[in-house]
Amino acid sequence: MALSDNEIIEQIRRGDKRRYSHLVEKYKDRAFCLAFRLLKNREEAEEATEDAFIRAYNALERFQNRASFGTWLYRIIYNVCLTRLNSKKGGLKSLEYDEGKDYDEYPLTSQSSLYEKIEINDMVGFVHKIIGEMPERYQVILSLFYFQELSYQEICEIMELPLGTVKTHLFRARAMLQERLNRELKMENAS
Amino acid sequence: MNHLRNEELQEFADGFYDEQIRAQIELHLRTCTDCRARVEGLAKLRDIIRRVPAERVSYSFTNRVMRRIGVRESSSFLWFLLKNIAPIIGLFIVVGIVYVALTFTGIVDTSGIGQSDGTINTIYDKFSGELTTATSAFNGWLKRIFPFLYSKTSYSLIAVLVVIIIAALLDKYLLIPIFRRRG
Repeated sequence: MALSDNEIIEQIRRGDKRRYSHLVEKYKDRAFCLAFRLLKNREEAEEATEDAFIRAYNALERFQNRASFGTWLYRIIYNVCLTRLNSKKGGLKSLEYDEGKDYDEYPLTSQSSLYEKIEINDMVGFVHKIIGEMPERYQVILSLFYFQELSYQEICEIMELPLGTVKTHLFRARAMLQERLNRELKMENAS
Repeated sequence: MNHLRNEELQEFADGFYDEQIRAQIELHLRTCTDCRARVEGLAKLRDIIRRVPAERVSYSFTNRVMRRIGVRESSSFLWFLLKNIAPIIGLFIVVGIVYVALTFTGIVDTSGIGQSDGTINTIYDKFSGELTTATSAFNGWLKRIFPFLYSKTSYSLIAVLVVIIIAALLDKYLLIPIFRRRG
């Protein structure tokens, strides 16, 4: 039977360092995905992910089971990436989060009829491309919610943002994605 | 009930409402095509996003992290083979298929195969015959090269042990460092 993260951490604390490879294997791709969304560069994202795993290992003694290991690790990665972005001139501009509470300034238009006409693989390709072109703050929130499968509350903990701000930005990210996807699908249908 | 607000739509689609509120919203969705379309749009978007291929770290990532925390990979060449057993078996299957294909196309000599036999029996007879011949040849070769292995004396046991020790030393000091360098 597979051990839980907390059981693995307990074994590492008792001296079985090799067990850490289980945690690395389990989280490496999702962690990298988050770093890549923030840093937009493969090599740099991989370095940041590696640094984050080392930091997490060194801080394992201080890890308390209040949050899951995954959430805790993503928070470390988020901070490592922010530090890297901060060291670049103007790097943090695109990651500023406002307090915005107004959902209704962003229309959520559904074009389900368009979805029917396009192959699912093509749509996945469009979405992949559109996400890559979105502002980092939206990419990060989408990544945490959809790829890391975290709850609103866990995202709040990682990004140290109020719940309302996380919900609003997630909503805006989806509205923007949907709007751009609709535009792409219309163009595809027209051609 | 008025149309659902965007905030309500999002939380409903994400499954964060309790059962009572969900029931109220579901009731509304039964009669409101506009809200239903918006919820369906969000669900569809979620399905598409989840299909987006995840970015992956390079193959040697875990080894690099483990090395940085001071853990050396201890896996032997045998473990390397076991880890890659699927591709190895796959290779055997591919070779088998190619062999059968070559046999049927006549590129490989098929004169020994009886025409009247069923296809499965033919392949089986041919394969088992080849295997028996190969095993006998290998056995004969071993007997010639390492006669002591067949002498039933204590030397054979010692020889086997020596071979295992040499293989283990080669594994530890030659093969593992090579694979470690390759990541």
